Amino acid sequence: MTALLLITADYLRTLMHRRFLVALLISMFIITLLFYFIIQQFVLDPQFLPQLPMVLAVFYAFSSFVGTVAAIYVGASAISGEISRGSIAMLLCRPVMRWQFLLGKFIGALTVLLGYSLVMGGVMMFYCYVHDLDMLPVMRFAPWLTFCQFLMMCSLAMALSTVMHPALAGVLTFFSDLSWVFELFITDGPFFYVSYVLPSYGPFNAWLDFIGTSSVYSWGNVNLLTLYAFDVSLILVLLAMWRLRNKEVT
Amino acid sequence: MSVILTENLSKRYRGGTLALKNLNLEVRDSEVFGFIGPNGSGKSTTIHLLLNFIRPSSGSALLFGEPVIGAMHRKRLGYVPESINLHTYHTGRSLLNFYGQLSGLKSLRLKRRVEELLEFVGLYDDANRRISKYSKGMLQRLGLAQALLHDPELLIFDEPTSNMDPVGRREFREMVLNLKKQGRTVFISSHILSELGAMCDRVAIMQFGELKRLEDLRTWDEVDDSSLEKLFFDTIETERTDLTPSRQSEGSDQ
Repeated sequence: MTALLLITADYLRTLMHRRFLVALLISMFIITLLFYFIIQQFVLDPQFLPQLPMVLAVFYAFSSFVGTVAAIYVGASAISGEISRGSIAMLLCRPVMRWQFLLGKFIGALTVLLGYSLVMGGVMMFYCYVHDLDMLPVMRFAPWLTFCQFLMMCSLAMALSTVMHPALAGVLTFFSDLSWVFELFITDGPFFYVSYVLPSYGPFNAWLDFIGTSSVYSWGNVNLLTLYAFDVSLILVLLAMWRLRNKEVT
Repeated sequence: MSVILTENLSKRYRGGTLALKNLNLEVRDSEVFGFIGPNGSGKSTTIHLLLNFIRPSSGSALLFGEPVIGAMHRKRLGYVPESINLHTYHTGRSLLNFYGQLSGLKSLRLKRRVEELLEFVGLYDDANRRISKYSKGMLQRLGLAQALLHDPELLIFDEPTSNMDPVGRREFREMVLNLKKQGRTVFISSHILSELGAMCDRVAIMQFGELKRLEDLRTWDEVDDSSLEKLFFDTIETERTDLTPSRQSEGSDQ
């Protein structure tokens, strides 16, 4: 347990040193500032007020995109970075199991992504508070669903980075959403059921709920999606552990 | 008691290169064991197999009587790699603290050990500088400190003095002799034969991934720089003349 926490803390320190956390915070700050002024314009002119949820939806989509890139980066580089630098040898020559090393890195990555999702939710609440707006129901669970999506993408990038170059793992993870295949075979047919096993982040993207064109989300759905995301991530992390267990690290 | 024991240990890398071939080696408790050989003779491969960084193609390796795949016996060993790759955002002191905690040292003992070792390797004044500002020699000294941190019973050195200046080399030799007096087991892979002659109880000469000669220097009347060098070149040159054709034929088999 101690080794796990030490590796987690050290990974967070690595991200800090690489200015990754600062870059993430600056990106979020710029997006927040930009949308703050946009929302202010909408609030000042009552005729645009009904469009406000759309602005929040765009903010949500923007910040989710930045978070997605961050999730892929931390997932793909956490293990492979240590291997390519050769610093992994100095860790694994100590009483540290490989699964502890991987899990420590993974927890570190999730801490960052959870923090980012919380900041995202906090900013949306800040907009509502400052401009005296009613909170949209979707805002209660949108940051959590986004975190679930980050979780899956991070674990996929990590699992892929144990078998291929991290840059390729990142690109594949970015394009791993195959929900369009689902839409292609939406009607019953032999391929329809295949779509159930294809990765899809579509249901985790709650932006349609902001503009009220979709209301698929209830707490029941959110719980189900949470279970799905954790299940997928668990499988991917276990696969990554299995691969790292047999991987030659020099 | 065997601290290191390998039985028919072989490693063939992807692509077919046979880096190690049926290595049978025993390193006993409290001995200083020299592992020498030209480049590509399988020294680093052996060390990486012992540390479970890579998996053997066949055969087995035991450390303290346990398979190398476990982690707990690593509390009893210290390792200095050929090239020291550390997290450069650490300072010398914070890095030793981090590695010490990973090795299971408790805070009071850790603090004492870190200060002792910084003093010992001559990095006390630079302990709060970032590692990225360290020279290669300083990194090597820090590498030594991290290996000694938890007072291990076995020390594995892979080309430990390649970046050290003559003063550092002499200090390293004194340190190994001191460890020997304390009853530690030391396994050193090095190209610098003059260093090994003065330190080692036994030496193994490797070439083409095979153990060519195992010599007990304690039975020698006199060990000086030239005698070990002569032994090495006699073995290597003979083998080179004899084995070059057979290696080629081995390559064609792959």
